[in-house]
Amino acid sequence: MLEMGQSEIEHSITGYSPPFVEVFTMSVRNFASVAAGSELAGISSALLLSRIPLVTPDLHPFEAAYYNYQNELKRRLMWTFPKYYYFRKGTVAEREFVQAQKYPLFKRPGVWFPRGVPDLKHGRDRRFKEEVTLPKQQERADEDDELSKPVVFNSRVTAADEAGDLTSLERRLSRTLYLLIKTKGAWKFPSFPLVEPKPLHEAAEQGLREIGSVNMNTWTVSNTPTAVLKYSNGKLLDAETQEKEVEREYFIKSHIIGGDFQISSSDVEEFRWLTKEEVEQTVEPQYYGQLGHLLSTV
Amino acid sequence: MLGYRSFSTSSVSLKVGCAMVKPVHHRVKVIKKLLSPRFPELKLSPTDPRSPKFRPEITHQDRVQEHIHNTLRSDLMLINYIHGEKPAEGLKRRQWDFTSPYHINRPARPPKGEKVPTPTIMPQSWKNVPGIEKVVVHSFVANCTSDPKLNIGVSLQLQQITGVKPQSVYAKTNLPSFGLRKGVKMGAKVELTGRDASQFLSTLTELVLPRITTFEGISNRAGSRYGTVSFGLKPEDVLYFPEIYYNQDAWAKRFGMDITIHTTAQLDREARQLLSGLGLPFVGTEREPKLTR
Amino acid sequence: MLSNVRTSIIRQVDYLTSGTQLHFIRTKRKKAGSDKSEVRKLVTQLSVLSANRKQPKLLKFSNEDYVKHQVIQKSWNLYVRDKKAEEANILQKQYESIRAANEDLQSVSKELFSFANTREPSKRFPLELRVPTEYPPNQIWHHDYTPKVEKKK
Repeated sequence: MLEMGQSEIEHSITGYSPPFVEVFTMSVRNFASVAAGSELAGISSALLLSRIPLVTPDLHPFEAAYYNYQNELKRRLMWTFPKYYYFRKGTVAEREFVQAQKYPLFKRPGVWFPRGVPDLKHGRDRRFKEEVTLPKQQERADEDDELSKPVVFNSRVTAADEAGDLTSLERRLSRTLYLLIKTKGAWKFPSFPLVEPKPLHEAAEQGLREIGSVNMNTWTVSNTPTAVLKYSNGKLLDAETQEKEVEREYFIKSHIIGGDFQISSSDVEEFRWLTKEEVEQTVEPQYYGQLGHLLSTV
Repeated sequence: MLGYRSFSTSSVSLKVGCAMVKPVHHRVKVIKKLLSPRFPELKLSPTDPRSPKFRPEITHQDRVQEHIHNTLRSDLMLINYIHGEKPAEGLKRRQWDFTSPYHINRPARPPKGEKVPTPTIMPQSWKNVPGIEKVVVHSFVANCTSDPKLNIGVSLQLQQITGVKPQSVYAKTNLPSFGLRKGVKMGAKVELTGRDASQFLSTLTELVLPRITTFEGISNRAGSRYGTVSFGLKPEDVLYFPEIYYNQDAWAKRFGMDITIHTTAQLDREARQLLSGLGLPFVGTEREPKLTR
Repeated sequence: MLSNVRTSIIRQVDYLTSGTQLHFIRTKRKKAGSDKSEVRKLVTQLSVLSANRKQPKLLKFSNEDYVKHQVIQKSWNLYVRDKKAEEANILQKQYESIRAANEDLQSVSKELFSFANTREPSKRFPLELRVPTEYPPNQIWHHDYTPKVEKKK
């Protein structure tokens, strides 16, 4: 729907603009070249890349029941549909509409009504909710006309869900998916050592394009890191650690908008797009324990 | 049940100066014994299904609000977080120094350079992440002075678009050069909250605004400074609301409308960030407010 | 208001340049009911706006239904309260985590800290991040994205 006028608007939105393509030829091995005494040594920038939900969250059964109950009460308390406003008297449309309706019983003397005496106004029994049937729905459903065909919704369960494809961005549409990569046999969020003094978010986005593909459109949420993990000799430390000589991993949040993650580095063995619960089952418990609150429950 | 009905409210409600209050014709039966002022505990709350005011509102999933809560709020907090930021004190009324006895009971001076005090802007925390409060759709029709029948059309247009019963708006001042008299009905407005507001916003961003060829975005300069964003739709733009578009015979005469989105954001900048997450585009340069932290 | 609409005598106002006076000229009486269509339209519009004859009867719950309703309402309120509390709890944890990360960054590198704590001007969500819909679109994901290559100077 937004195609029109979007090109004009697009330039005004300052998302992450990927740097020049030439940068991506840089080898991953160059990262080791940071001087040991530099303040950047031991700092890396990790990316929490997510795909936001594409369809509404699945309803809890209680929610569904409550919505249904409230909706029925609302329909019961709605004013009568003013058909005289939408269908002028004596027109074909009015006749079709009138024929499509099921009118309630009207009051007659000497007749016993099991559901109580009808109280009709404007052709509606005021004691009950009003059922309005559109003539289009019943009559023209079988015709081939494009406009009058009944609307068929796409399924919320996709082919990727049925195939169990964990690398597809088209799985679990109602949930937020996070990118996990497997390096040296361990599942983690993608993380990149800092080689030069540049903002953390730029380092993370550039690193992502080195291990993944350039053909990926992402939007960095903020230049501010959302969490930090501390390691000592590659071992994850507690959040409240007092150790001074540690390696740090700052997490930057980002959303994927278009394109796909395709492995283009030999360091990455596998990748997956996973929901919060799946991330919990895949990564180390200690790692998840320090990051779990960052992942969306929906 | 009807609240307080005064017989001298004409000046308060800006209506033409006649003190007579029109009788209320009850469309529903009122249980009079429950209205007695002697037993206030008998009064039914509007959430009670026995009350004529009872309206079930939570009738379906609210996808706009759910999107705000599931995705946007967490991001907005991160975007606006500045470490070690201090509250920006607003300008407050200046008290007299009481060097003179006449200072007692003298009203405080207005703040420097302002007419009313400005709020203190607090740093971003998990408690003040912005959200949508309400949407006000307001149609002021200047021709109503010469043609009061237009009031019917403008009310109905708002009711059709929003699904909420509109209230009339009245001229606040006398402007003889425009033929405007105080208290004359000059159009209508609706205040949308909850699911009605969400429905209106999603219709606007998904059906109406993309079809308006001249629409480039809401101006980055429009706003009340403190978290309220407003913009207008012309009569020809109103055509694209589906309620009007598919019933064009009935809507030869359409009315423009001013849309004001009230958010709980502290500054317009934050309000625009929130609204951009709902698909409202913004154009132009943004002015940063001067805050002294 | 409506009495203004139906005029049996149409008065034409002739602005004569000779004087400042307005001259009302009485013209031929039109057929009765010739301008009724506009009135009828206004009456229809008013009746759409009005609750008259359209209001249903009040709800009439039996005692049992009334108690049921109260139980449903109470449990919904509890459900919403718990959900809100959980959301606030998660948001608070995220806030603490952002604060801890920035505190740590400040102690490690002043430069990176200042990069991370400058406000981005006119930060907006991209239009491509849509509000979720009830059912997915025909094309679920745009797989073929190529970045715009910036022209060299």
